[in-house]
Amino acid sequence: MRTAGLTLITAALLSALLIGLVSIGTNPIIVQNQVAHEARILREVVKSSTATLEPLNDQNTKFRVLEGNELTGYLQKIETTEGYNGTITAWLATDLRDAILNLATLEHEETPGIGDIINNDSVWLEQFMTTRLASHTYRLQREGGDFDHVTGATVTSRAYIAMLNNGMLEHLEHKASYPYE
Amino acid sequence: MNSFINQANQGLWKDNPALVQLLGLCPLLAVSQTLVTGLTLGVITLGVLVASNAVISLIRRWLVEDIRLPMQILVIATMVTLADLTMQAMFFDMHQRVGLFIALIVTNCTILARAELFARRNRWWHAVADGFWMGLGFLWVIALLSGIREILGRGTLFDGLTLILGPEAEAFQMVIHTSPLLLVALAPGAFITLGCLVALKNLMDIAYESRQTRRLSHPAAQRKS
Repeated sequence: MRTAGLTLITAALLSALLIGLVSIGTNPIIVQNQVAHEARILREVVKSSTATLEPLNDQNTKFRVLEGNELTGYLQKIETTEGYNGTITAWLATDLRDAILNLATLEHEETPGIGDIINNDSVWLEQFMTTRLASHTYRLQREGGDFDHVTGATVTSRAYIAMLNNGMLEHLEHKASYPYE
Repeated sequence: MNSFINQANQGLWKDNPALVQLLGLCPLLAVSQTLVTGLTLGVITLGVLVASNAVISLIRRWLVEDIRLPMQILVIATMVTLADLTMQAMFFDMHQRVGLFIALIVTNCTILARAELFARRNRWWHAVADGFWMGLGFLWVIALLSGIREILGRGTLFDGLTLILGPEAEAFQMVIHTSPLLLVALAPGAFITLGCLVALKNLMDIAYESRQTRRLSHPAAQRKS
């Protein structure tokens, strides 16, 4: 029994060592992939390849979008843990009228095939474009709001819409304090 | 050589992990939405199965009764973690899509079953061959299943191939029709499609068997024997 225990401990240590080594080897590439992935999404989100994004905080979760020297909108990272599994993070781009210009889901671990409605190519996301907090209620239609949910993905739909609501509220709250020039 | 063909036959058809043993249903059904995700998971499962079978066979003299299962799970979990890291480094975009199910390969019973039933009792090259054929058996079923489901349920084929092969692969991503059958795309559709595949396999087996018996009972065959 004691040797068996020792064998198990040795095996566990060896596995940990192996994973550690491979992790050290792959980590720089993975981080690089993540950065490239985010940059690509940012360009797509603001629908412009010429825009400059100026960070408004140190965590790089809020940006001013400038076209040349002219302010064209804002970009912020929003997230929720209300989904079916794990955290959903997304980029929310708003124009100067505080209407949603574009949305892009950054990461999620919703059920593949079902939670896919929040993937970037999804038709479901189109209903949010050009909507504003001033004229729309960010809730499911059957809960008194203005937006459709997808059958089978109600939890994901609800979480996503609530995330948008919070993001829009936060944006309006902080907008006053952003530098305009 | 004979045992080699036998192993191939067992993994691909007679004892197919997905169609006969009905193991690993969770990933089989969850990731078979599109052909590309299905193939990805199938290939990774194949790789993990071969590697874990090899390692378990090599360490089999230390696999005493008390720690057999934890050791096997440890090996499988290590292999899956390595595969996960490698995939994040090499196919980041694809990992974004099937990442959750990579970790779940640990719970794919096919892999533990092969470790328990075969790898820990056989020499490593036999274990590798077994892992390969069983993995291939799983791969072709998940590929067929996800191909059928993608065509019927989404009306596309090879959707998402650019996530693996880069933008050049866009030519392969085709739209076949625009009236997708939602049922097939959802979870029940996965069960129904798999059920049809299992039934088809059984029908083929029965047809083959009855032809064999008919041939044996044929007067010409009797005279010969």
